[in-house]
Amino acid sequence: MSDERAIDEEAVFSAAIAIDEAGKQLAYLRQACGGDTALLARVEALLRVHASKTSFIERVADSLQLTIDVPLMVEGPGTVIDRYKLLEKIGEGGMAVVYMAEQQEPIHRKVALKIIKLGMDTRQVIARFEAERQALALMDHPSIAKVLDAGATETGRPYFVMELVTGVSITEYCDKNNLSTKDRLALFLQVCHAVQHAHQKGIIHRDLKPSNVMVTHHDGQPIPKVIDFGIAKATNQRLTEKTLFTRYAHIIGTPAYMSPEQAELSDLDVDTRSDIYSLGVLLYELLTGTTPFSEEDLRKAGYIEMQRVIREEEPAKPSTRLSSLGETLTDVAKRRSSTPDLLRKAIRGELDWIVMKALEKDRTRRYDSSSALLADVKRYLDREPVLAGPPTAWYRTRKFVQRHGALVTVVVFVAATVVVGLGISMALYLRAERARDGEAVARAETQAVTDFLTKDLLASVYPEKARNQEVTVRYILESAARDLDEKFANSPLAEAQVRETLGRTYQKMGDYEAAKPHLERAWEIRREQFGEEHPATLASLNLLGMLYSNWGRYEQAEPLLARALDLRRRVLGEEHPDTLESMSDLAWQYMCEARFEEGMVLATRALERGRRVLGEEDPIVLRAMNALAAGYVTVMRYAEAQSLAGQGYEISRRVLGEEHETTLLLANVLAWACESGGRPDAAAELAARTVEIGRRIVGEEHLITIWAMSNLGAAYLKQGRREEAAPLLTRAFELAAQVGGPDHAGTVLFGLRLAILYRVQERWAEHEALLIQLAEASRRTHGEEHPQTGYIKYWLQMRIEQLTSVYREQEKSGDSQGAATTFGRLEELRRAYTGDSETQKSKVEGPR
Amino acid sequence: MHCVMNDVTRILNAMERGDVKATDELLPILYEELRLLAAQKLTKESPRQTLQPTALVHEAYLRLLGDQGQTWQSRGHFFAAAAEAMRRILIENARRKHRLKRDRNQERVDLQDAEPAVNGPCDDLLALDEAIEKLARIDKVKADLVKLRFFAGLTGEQAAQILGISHNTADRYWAYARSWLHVEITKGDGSERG
Repeated sequence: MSDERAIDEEAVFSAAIAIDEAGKQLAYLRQACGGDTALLARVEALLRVHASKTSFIERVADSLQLTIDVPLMVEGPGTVIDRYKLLEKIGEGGMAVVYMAEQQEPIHRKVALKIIKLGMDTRQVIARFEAERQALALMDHPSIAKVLDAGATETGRPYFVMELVTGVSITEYCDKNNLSTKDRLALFLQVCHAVQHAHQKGIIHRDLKPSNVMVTHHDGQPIPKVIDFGIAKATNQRLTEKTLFTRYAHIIGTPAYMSPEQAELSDLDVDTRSDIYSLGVLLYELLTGTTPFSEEDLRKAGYIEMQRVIREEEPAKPSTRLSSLGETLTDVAKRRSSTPDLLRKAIRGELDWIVMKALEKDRTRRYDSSSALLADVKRYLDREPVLAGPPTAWYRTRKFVQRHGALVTVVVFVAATVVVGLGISMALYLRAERARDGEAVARAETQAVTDFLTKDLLASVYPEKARNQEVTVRYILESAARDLDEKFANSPLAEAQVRETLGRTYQKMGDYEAAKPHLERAWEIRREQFGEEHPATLASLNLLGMLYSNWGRYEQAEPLLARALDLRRRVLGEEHPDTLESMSDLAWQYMCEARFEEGMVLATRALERGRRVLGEEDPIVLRAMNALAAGYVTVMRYAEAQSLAGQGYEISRRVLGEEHETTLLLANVLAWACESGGRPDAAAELAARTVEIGRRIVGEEHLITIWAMSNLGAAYLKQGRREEAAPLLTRAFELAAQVGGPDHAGTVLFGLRLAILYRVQERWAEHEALLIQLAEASRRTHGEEHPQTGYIKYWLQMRIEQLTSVYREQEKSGDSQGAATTFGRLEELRRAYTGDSETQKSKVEGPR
Repeated sequence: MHCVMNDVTRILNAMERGDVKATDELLPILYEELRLLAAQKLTKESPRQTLQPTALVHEAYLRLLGDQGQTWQSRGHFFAAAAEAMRRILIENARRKHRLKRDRNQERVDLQDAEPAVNGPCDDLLALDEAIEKLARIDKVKADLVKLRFFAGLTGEQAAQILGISHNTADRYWAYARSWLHVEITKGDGSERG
């Protein structure tokens, strides 16, 4: 067949198939082929095929199915592979089967023989193993199972021979024996030791996971054994080899334990720190019973998404994870011989930090070696400060306190802040003092404070002093505050400093009553020492004003704050940062008193000046923005609120970081503004993010997080996602009442949102009871004229109208009993509406 | 962002720029990718499972290139290489089956065909492949068209775009090639089938 003829043939064929009518087609063929009968026969054959539905190609296509060269596992007990006789199967995973085997020579012993399942280039695998064999031979550690040999089975699959380890995986072992967190950490330390040993010999494991860390017993002691050293690398291929095998092998393996750089799949980039990451995952699992990312979710996510998660997503802290386990937590705690509360408490803080440092995405921020990780875990066990986490003074102080055997309560944290607070304010104060009175006085003051810190404050928690007394912050503060004037007889300014710090601390704890005398005395001392108008005196004055403001004692707060602003203006000038701070604070005070006009004028002025003088990025300016935006929301100027809070949020996020308190506050105000202003989608997104950050940074029981939770619930409610809204709104309200008290402004706001949810869900009894409770609280906190009270009254009114028509119906239909009940409920609601519920009021605990 | 993807994308870009050597890089990647995909599926799921080779190619495409806006040209390179990779896999597979059938001593490993006919699918595939190769020597475009449709599972229109010919032309070529292959394969048979 020549090319020319083929073309002829094709031309005739193509022309012929374009002719529909059989007779015409035949006539055309005769004419086109002329006398060439061979051509005619051939084209006719082609046309016959063309007319049929299934030619050869369709038939093959239909029957075509792919089977691929995956040799069956023909090995089994009894099979002899080189020098090894397989005895029994002791394990099977996605990639490999492990047999117990008997080695005949040179020595007779039992070994573990691992056969890799999937077809891969056996020669290369063995070559890579050989390349590392010498290094592997150098490893000699009781917690490392030696890899002894490698070879190929008859069916061409690679196998590895290892020291036989009989035992179970470390996670299984710990769970089976209900090992406490402490015992788990002790085992984990040994694993770190082993890994460190390998790293020193230049061996990276690359595939650390529970099934590669077995626990066996030796002299009654559990010994972890890390197996499979060198195998991951041997079965691994490099990127430069242009095959994708490894990458899938990995993924077929265990994505949950894979470090971000391994997920990146650039093998060139894997180093010892990848093992640190995997150790972090292992520790996470030992502590919480779950991996940072669930294996199942990762697999479900698909290939690319899985990589994104591992590389980009921040996992929940272990303690946060525990909190989210729900009912499983009880079981998880039991397996750790603990209770949910104790377990969470044990893990929150240092262990969280240690794990999260090992799990850093950026490996330069991880522990730089296994021994560094080990050392930190050890420090935790020895109650020394760990390196991970915020290495701040108050944290170290707390550890110091803890080590000295005092009863440890979470509140001790706050005690430590006293020390730090003092340290900072003393430094500032002394700088001023030095300028005024010279070195000698300053040194005396410093000494007084130092003595106070070490002899009184810290000494108070020494066991011999605190014998049989529960050491609480209150105890520490009280014992520190005793006879302050005597202690500081010769250095009144230091006394003022210490008192101010104590006052701040009490205030943070919400104990305004206890804070008051200290702040008052501090102000008094400064007035005596410095005079009425000294900046330090004015700072004291402002602080005292803010105490009353936070306390809800607005009548006392307002004159103090107004006076502070007035004096600061005069003494320091209109544009001094202190003056601007006072403006912001007084503005906030006005808002609290529902004097919105004045409040907003002042906040606006503080903002304008602040922007000009301090720049937009100053924290004082951001606080002014926050105050003004919150004011806008309260008076329903949502567009302005959104714009201002949005601006502040962006700046704060950029300058102070996403996780800074001010940023979170602005995020909450912004979400609130969006939610109220008809943008529930934007609100939900921001609130969800804030909840996540809040939980991670300040914990769930912080007003910032609670507020965000409530915002999220409210946004969901507006989106019609009631099921999701309900738990958030309920929890936010409960937590707020717990943390801020029943009358706290937040509690009232979050409660109203919950009440609206009840209404939507037609849970009328709860709806009514909550509204009544809130009306009282809002009157106490905000007063009758405050919009918040107004909103609550609005919903009361709605319910009253509804019930009134129910009542009428009942009367009409002769249901006198029902009508009587309804009437009772109406009476209650009306009383709540008018605020005429003196009897109720006395029952509720008044402000502290 | 994604390494395997980057690899493939990079190679495709190089090919678009006319880097002929890049073609050599793409084929083994796709070959392994497809084999692995198949192996993964066959081992994970039931070993008796049937895999549609062309579906596999499309899955590989999605895995390697995703939804990122690839030009038709680079898609063309991709599918041409994928078709070739799939062809090799299928042919190797068929050859192995063929050998196993002859070799009575060895147990059949993974034959799923119930037909004991002499011209079972694996032999048919080998015959078809031979015929396609023969066609390629006469008319490369038509052979490429067949490969794209048969091994990569593209529609006539998609294949036409990749080959840079009109849809009509592609249909015409396909009609001819389809008939031609049938006649070519069955000409020694004595009986025409189909």
